[in-house]
Amino acid sequence: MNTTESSIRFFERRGQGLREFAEATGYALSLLLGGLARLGQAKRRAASVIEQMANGSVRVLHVVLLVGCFSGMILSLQTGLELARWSQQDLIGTIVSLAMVREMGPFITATILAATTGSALAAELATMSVSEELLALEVLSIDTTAFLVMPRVLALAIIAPLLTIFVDAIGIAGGSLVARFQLDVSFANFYDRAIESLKETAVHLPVPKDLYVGLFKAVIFGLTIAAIACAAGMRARGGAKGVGDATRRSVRNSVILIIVFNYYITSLFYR
Amino acid sequence: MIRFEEVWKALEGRPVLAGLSFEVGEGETFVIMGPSGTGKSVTLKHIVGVHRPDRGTVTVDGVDVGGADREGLRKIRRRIGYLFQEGALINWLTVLENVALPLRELTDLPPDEIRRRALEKLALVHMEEARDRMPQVLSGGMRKRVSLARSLVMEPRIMLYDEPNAGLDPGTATEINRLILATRDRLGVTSVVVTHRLACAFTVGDRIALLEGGKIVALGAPPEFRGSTDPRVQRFLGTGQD
Ligand SMILES: Nc1ncnc2c1ncn2[C@@H]1O[C@H](COP(=O)(O)OP(=O)(O)OP(=O)(O)O)[C@@H](O)[C@H]1O
Ligand SMILES: [Mg+2]
Repeated sequence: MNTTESSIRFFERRGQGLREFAEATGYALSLLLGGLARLGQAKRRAASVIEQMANGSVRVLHVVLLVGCFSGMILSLQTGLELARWSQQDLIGTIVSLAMVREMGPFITATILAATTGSALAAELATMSVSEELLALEVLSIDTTAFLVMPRVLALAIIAPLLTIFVDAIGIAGGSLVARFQLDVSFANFYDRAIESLKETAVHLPVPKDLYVGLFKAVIFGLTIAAIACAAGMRARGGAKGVGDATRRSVRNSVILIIVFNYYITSLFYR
Repeated sequence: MIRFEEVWKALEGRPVLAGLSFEVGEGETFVIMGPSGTGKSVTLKHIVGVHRPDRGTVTVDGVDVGGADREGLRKIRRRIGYLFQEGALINWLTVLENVALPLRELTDLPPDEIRRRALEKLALVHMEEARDRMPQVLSGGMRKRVSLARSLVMEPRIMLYDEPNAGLDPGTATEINRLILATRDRLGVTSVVVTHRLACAFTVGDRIALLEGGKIVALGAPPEFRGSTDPRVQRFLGTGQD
């Protein structure tokens, strides 16, 4: 095989990957809209929504908290060492709190949710797909979008911002510990700065803008993760390998979309 | 009742059905036999509109399934119970919840009544005892029975059985055959049974068809079928497991 041929093959494969990504995303969008259109059934399906929320949050809480805490610590240490060179350590509280609430909190939470709850969800639905359970529901004329998709979409849209609040808080706490014991910035100083800089943005609403933009991001990420995972799972074909493929695809596609959406939401609110 | 006319279907570029024609009459039990991979499951999936013919027509009660819209398809499916080859029970619902699911999702019946009807169908397949267990912990035969109860709970007029006793020991297989007959007698359903077990075919079938190469190559009541001199039938009878 010569180079031209192999490079054509290379681009052909990328092309296929891109088409598959576009198809999966389109299907996820249709599931998302279908799920949102059925939110009226949320009350009737409350038990199912709550079960999904519990599954999706309790099992990942410790991971989310651990990663959140260390992220805050790293952030504090890196910026703190640099700031200390200019004797500006006092700014650590501001930087850590803004970075956590605006960016890192929602992003870390979403990435972990995509890798844990999202992949488990994709695997669950993929198993149902390859074992003809979805087909059986279809033949029974049961609305799979209402029965399966809506509770999962709603659950993730609720737990993503809740977990984000935890991550914000523990990240800032971790940051303050590093500031106190490694950089000699007192807790009072750190938290005064943090609260002050968050308060400054509470202009339009009683809630700081940084917080509600961050939580808005988290909701969008939650919806994205659920829709992508449902789409990947429900399109799965071909036995155990199909389940594995669906899981991998779900994590990959949602991480890609999370980072892209993150940029656009940020530029929407902060430009 | 169910009618295939010159149905052609290719899946992923490979021809599966090639001019398949047959008719199943009201109340009849029609058995489809044939080697693995000849399109028996695909045939059943045409009856519920999961697959649509490339050419030819499939009609159920005079309605063209291939051309039906969403609502039309829903009406047809409401009359049909489908026993899937692997059972296809929802693995995170208990046995009773699985059987009750169609009633819960598709009717406005009060919970008590739903429970009563689901238990009644479980009793029909002798599985009331297992009502609170999860599908994963059941044996293959038990799963098939629960699945049968679920497909009966909406009181269908047509039952489709895909390999109802594949992978079961002879005793359990005989039990399933009895259930198929009991369902027919009690509910007067029209049935299509896909199987490669000769005992099942000869016990439950009013007529038996041999599907090969995407169409029916032999068809007849059990005695005729058994006595056929067609080499393909003889070959199949010779290899069919019992
Ligand atoms: N959804 C599908 N997409 C592509 N090909 C399919 C699909 N379903 C079935 N086929 C193919 O169609 C052919 C017939 O499949 P079918 O499941 O009807 O066989 P079968 O007669 O039921 O066999 P078995 O006795 O093993 O269940 C097979 O070659 C199968 O690979
Ligand atoms: Mg089959």
